[in-house]
Amino acid sequence: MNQPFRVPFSLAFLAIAAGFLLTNVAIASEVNVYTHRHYEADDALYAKFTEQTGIKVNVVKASADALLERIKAEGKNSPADVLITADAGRLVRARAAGVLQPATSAKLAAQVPQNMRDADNYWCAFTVRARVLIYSKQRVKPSELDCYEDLAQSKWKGRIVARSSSNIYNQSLLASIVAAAGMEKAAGWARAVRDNMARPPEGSDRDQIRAVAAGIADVAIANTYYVGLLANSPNPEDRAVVGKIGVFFPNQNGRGAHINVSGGGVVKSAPNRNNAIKLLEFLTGPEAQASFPVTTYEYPLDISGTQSKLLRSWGEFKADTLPLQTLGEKNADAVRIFARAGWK
Amino acid sequence: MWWIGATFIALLIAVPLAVVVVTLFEAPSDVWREVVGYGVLGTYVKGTLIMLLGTGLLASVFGIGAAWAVTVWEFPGRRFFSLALMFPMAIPTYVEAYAYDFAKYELRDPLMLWIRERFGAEAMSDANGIFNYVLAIFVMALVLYPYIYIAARIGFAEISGAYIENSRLLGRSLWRSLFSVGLPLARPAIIGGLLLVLLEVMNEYGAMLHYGIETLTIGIFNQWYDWKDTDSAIRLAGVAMLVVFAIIVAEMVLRGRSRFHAHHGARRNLAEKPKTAFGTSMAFGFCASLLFFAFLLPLWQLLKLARYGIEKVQVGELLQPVFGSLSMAVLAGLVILIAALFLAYAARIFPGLAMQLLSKMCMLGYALPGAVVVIAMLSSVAAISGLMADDALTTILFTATPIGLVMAYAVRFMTPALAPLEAGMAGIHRSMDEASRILGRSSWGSFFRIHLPLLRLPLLGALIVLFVDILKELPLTLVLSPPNVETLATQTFGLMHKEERLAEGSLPALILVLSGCAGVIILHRLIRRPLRA
Repeated sequence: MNQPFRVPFSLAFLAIAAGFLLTNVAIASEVNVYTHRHYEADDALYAKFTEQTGIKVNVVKASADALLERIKAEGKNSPADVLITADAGRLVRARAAGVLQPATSAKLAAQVPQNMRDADNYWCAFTVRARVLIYSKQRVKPSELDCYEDLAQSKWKGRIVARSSSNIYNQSLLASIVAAAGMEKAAGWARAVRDNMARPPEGSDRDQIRAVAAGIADVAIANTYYVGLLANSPNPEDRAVVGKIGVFFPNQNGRGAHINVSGGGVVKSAPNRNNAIKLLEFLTGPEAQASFPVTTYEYPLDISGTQSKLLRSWGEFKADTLPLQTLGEKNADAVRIFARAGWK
Repeated sequence: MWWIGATFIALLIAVPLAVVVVTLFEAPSDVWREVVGYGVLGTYVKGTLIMLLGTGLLASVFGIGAAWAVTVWEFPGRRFFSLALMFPMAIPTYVEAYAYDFAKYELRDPLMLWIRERFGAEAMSDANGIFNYVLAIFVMALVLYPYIYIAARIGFAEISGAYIENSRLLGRSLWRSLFSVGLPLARPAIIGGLLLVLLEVMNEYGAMLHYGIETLTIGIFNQWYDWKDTDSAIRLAGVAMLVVFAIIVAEMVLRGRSRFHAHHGARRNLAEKPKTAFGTSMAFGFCASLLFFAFLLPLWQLLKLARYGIEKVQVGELLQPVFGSLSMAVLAGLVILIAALFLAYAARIFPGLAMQLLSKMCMLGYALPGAVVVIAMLSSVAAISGLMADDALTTILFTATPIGLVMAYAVRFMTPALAPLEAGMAGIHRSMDEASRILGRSSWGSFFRIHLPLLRLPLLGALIVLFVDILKELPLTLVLSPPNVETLATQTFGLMHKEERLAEGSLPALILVLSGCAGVIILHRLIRRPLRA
């Protein structure tokens, strides 16, 4: 072999050895989690779960849609025990794709409210986020705000920002409006809100909140935990943004503010079914529930019972009690409406 | 033998891509018709073309300009720049975009407020869109120009200094010599680099979403994630692939029979580099400002964030994946490089159209968004494992070992390996092959004695690009890794993109970028006669 290539090749052999080290060794008690939630806090929770039960948690983190494809491709041989997504709609889709199985347990039934799990127990939620209105304290009085539907009024022309409709949080919000008011009204709403936007959708919820703080817009549609993220950021610039904005829970005189969840279901071919149920029980149990408001600024399943100072500072609110399953069922309608409304 | 081997490799890579092509011939779904009905296909194509044109042009100016400067001029820090100008490609595009967020808040937003005051809300909305396009093109060109820079460096280095000297004797300035000698002779290499840039732009997802720009790739994800229509997503990917295939074949045909040979017999560098005050300061100024905007400024922004984030993260834990990520990138890079060498050499000794097309087919994976390669890979593996009695195939490929991941990398990254090797092969005169044959060497013998040594620079360039690309790779690594594998890229993506904890995320981002740079330096040193002009 040519002299200059000797070193790279010996490196390659080292790398092969490293590759073997990377591969997991099967151990007696484990649970394999495919999760959409790429959060450090979740890793810490899994570690706690292992400490308490001795069950090792193996994790693959990727987008829920891709993980669904992986589970389908792996077929009955899939190692996946639990599929975790960051919205109810994708759990509904996973059930429809036939990759989940029902998981009943007394603990789950007690810990998860009825509207936060599948009617046939194919999946259940473990954290909640509310989609709210973020307003500029300088230019908007809370009394000017009312409900999501109100954003369609002409007084908001050029004053609203929202992220792309390809985001599931917007789709779920619109799905809840479809469920409440029907296709036609929801379509009119999406068109009007799109017309009222200060700029075309770009970036994440965080970018919308910053746009309100910067004066580009007066009201943003965003999830509560992004405010928590900014308020707790080690970067003083982020914290300064929080001082300029207020959190408003809409639809308090009606059906309540729109909520979505992170949740999980047991995979149909789960080789470790019992461990999978144990993990879901742990995630919906008291210890994990108390941790979410602190680590990811999400609400626990018992929204009003949270002890988190930050979450309580935004005020108590009434949440929409629509069964979350409906968000998944109406999702296709929402996507179609957004496309027609030109809300990219 | 070569033919069979090359066909085997090509098939391994082409099978997942064929999945994409096949869907083009199936009846379109209702969703597809509906989506096309809204006219969004036109929007996607428009966004893609603007980004391709803008980024392609700007990255060419940056990449070719920098390569020419360090090749023909002598200026302070030239050797440092010739290496450091590769570093920006170690920065993932979305990280560069976050690092340039200050431009949005401190430049764009005040400008937008002023425009709204002067010209009204609609003007602001439009201006915002234009600004985003400009910023996106700038940011993309800054991280992608090194692909052209490396290709052009290799191209220029293969040109005998005598050509340039002759050009100067004929009274041409160094600047004009670039157009009369440099570009024509280095053209195959530069086109190869430009191709990489264009394909990277085609498949970019994160940055486009960040700037609200709608491209074909954004459309593919809309089809898949929002409309739940995997078939239409793949169909759209097929459209994108056809566009790319057309570009590749057009280039092949345009190059046609004209061959540029590097004149290896007389290869030597420019004997004496001219030192005019103007030329020297221009070359220095160009390289310094390019390095500043592409690398130092973003790095400074990340460091500023890291100052806040350092208290909140365990740096020790963040360092854990360093060795695994680097060795995986080198290992997978070498596997792909060997496969590419095989293909490139087979295409040389069998110059027929079939072999040419086969090797071009393998380049299409780079044009697709990684997530589409994921679906294509999974569905072809599922189909194959369905044919077997015991379907343990997916376990072997994806759960127990990273073999499936390396295969997926090969599907995705054959282009950065093949493009420079093909350009390098094109620079070796065919008379060398003939002479070697006449002297009684087999095709293997000629390969090891003639081609491999002459391909040293292209191999080095390919390995550096592969290494950095694999180190940054996300969608394939996320979905197809065995459980519990965390790489520098997935770690950065998690904190910075998914959790949007930018201050905390800046630390793994810095570790990723610096590891990438360190890898580039080491690879550069390993080959004894590195890219020194």
